[in-house]
Amino acid sequence: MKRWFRRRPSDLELREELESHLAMRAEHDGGDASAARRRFGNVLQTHEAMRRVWIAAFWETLAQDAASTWRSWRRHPAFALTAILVLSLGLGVSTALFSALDRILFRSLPYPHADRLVSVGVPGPGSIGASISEAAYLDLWRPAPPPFESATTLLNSGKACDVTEEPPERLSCALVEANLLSVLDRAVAAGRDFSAEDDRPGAPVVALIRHSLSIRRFGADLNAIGQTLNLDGHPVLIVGVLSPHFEMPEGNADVLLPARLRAPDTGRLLMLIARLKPGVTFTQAESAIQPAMSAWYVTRHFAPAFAKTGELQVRSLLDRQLGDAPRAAWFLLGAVGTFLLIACVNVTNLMLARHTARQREFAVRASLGAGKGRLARLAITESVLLAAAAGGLGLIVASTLLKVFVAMAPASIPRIAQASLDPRVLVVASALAVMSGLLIGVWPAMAVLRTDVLHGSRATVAVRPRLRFMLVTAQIALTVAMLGGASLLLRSLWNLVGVPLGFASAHVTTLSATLSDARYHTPEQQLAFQEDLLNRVSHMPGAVAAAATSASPPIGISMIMGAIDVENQPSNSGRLGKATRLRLVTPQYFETFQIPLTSGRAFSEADRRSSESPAILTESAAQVIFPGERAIGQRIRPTEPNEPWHEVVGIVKDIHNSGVTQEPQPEIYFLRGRPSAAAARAERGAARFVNLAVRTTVSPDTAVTFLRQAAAELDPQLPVSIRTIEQQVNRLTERPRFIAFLIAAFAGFALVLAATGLYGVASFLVTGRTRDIGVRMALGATPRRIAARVLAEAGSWIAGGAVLGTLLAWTSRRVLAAQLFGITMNDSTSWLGTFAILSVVLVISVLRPAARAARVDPLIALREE
Amino acid sequence: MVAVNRPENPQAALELLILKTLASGPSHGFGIALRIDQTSSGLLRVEEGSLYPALHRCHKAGFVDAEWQITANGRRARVYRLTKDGRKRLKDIERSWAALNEGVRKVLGWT
Repeated sequence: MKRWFRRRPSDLELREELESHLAMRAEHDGGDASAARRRFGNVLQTHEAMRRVWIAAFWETLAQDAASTWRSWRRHPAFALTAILVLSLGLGVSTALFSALDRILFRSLPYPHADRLVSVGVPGPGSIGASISEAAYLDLWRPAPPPFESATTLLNSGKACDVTEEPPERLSCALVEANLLSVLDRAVAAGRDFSAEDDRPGAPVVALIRHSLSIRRFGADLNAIGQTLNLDGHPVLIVGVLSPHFEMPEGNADVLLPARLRAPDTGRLLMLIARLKPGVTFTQAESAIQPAMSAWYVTRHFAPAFAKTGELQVRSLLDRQLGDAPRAAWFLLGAVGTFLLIACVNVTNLMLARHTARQREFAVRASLGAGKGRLARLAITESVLLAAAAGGLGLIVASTLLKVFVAMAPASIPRIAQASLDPRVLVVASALAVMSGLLIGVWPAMAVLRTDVLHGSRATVAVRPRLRFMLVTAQIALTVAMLGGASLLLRSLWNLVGVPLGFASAHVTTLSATLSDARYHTPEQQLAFQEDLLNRVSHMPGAVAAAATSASPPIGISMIMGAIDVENQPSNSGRLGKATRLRLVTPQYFETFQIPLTSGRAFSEADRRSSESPAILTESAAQVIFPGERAIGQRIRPTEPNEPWHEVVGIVKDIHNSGVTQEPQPEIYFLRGRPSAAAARAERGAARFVNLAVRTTVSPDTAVTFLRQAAAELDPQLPVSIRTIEQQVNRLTERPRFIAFLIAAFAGFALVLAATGLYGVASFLVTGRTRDIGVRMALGATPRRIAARVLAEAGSWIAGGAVLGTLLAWTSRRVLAAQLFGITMNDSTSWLGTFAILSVVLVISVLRPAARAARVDPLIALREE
Repeated sequence: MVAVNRPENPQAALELLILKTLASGPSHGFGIALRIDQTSSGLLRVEEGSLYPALHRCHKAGFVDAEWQITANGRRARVYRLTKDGRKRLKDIERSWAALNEGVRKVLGWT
């Protein structure tokens, strides 16, 4: 250790040492000082040479080592290229994935003291966030109860709205409470924030707009203030512009409008965002508000069953945004880390192999005066240069991959679209490169330290395969874990895709569009358009059945109701044990999607002309609203003022309406398109959302073309999106597909790396033992036995790796299990498949070295002696 | 095998001489030069200008330690002492020099 801290002598000391030498020489020779000086030579030059020993050495040797490394790479380009490519792949994939997931895992919300911002509400099913009913909010949260500092709500976080002046464009408008910005603690960039006055019914409609919109339409944010914007035919006064960096807590709205919450008694659901007082935990906050909520359920005559499921939950706003994405993200990050580790181990093995080949060179260097420290430095310089080159190349790999990820990633992975190679990611990428440089340099450097100075007449290459075999085993173990994970995920994806959704998706094509209020002023006009289109579509060639609906399965968000009334029962009796979906459909809906009717009847065309409003319940809705009772014949209505009663006429099977892995949610169907004004109002503003579905006997392509044409004939300006239901069903399994794809790709690469690693070590083993094999053969061993010995040895390491890898997978079972569906960690098919693939590939990789061992000619091998 | 045509070789030779001299006891630079002169019976004369950089290289590599001391003549001098690493190093180079020596003798047909 001492040598690392050896003090560098000062210039003064160097001079004094030389002076002392000269004085001693003069004294010894009896001559004078100038004679001693003459004999010595150039004192200044010597002084300089001594100085250089201490100072310039570091950079000089670094440059020398770098040059020597470069020369050796040029001489062995295959090694250098392989090592750099493998490592850059590992680094590139890690960097890309890190930058894709960074925003999910490590960034906080862009609001001051965001840790105190929470989402409060009754958890929604599936992907739907927690919400609170408008009535409960107005009763209990004005003002925000302790321990909350403040609270605000969003009625919706962005719906399509149209600018009805030149130039027209479609925007996203959110309805929010006036205090949204102040609760989030953000200021407007220009103009003013909403005031409490703006939120009052009857006040002039004012808006806050996004910065990009103000630039686009008015050139500058200040220009926008005081302008009016015609939204859906209504003039709206722009009072403020949001800052360019402002992010909505949910959605991506261009325009914020005051929500103007109504007096209680509505079933509308709100997203509630609150700010906790400092130092209050979520649990404390939850237990503090629970009594008031329970009491409210009692005063509102909610059934105890509802009060139980209707408990408010307090979670961080970030959690609400991200959902369960962090779990998947950590899983992927762990997988990519393993992959990088495998790449590093592989390169280490390559370096060790090369080190063995270079032992003579090192020995010569050592004989010629290179210290061991110097040689170890050479090895580390090489690995660091390797990592630097790989890191550079890795960035190119990363930026390419990132584009692929962003394009491939499911929309349900939040914020992934914003991922980029920003400075933060670059820092992480450099850190990864340096770390892997050190990781791959450690073993070669240690091997160098063991180098012996050459002596005697013969160069002996020490065969020290233990370390390399350990590394290969480690690599196989990591690969097994990865491969096992990949096969489990693929099997689980298979299960996921096989889940019956409750409706037939083949041969169904959908058209969706949003009508602008400006061109279709009233709900009646909107419904009339839909009727026209439906009429055309149901008469298209090959059409079997067609329907219009407020939301098309499987992912269309249908309305979610908080409460429902039953005739002759007290209002708000809480007949809904859980949130229920409401879908408005035309009569042929059940036929189009082939949803089976279990009792009663489906809607008929006659129903649309009748003054009576019918309703159909799913089996689970019937069970929730009328447990143990006969549902058909009963009358229900959503808890809203002026709602008509709907008579239950039929019961249908449930469908998977909130994702594949989620239990089906209770659903109520009302009839869409009854031509009365009251019925149109009953569409609750949903009449503008066009969702047409048609079941055809013709090919989907023909259906798509026809639908596009039919819509264009009616309204050439209307933007429509046309997709087959199968495409939409696939979107449900986007995330598992994405994860399974990535892990399978990692596992495939890892397997290739493990195979090359094993091949390298086996070849090395055979080369190192040529003499040994020659002797055995001379003594009568058959080539077959020699080959078998090599295979058996490799086999033992494969088996060791397989056992270790299985254990490794077992330790990460909890993370993995969260990503599985329909199978467990112990799924024997997956593991058998893993071991089969592994053994086949790895055994193939050692066949060549084994064959070479069998071909050793004892005469030649022994003559080399 | 020892490479003979490398420029490093003269340095290695000097290093060997320095370490060998110090093996018989600590000494300052002048003492080392003097002793090499004497023990080689005047056959080898150390270039004093290269002796000191070589000494410092050995020092930096940890083969020798250095310390300022007062000599018998009452003069301040930097005295070098062989370290454990230096002893090991000496053995190594002695061996490779022996190999070189033997090789060269064989080539010259002196055996």
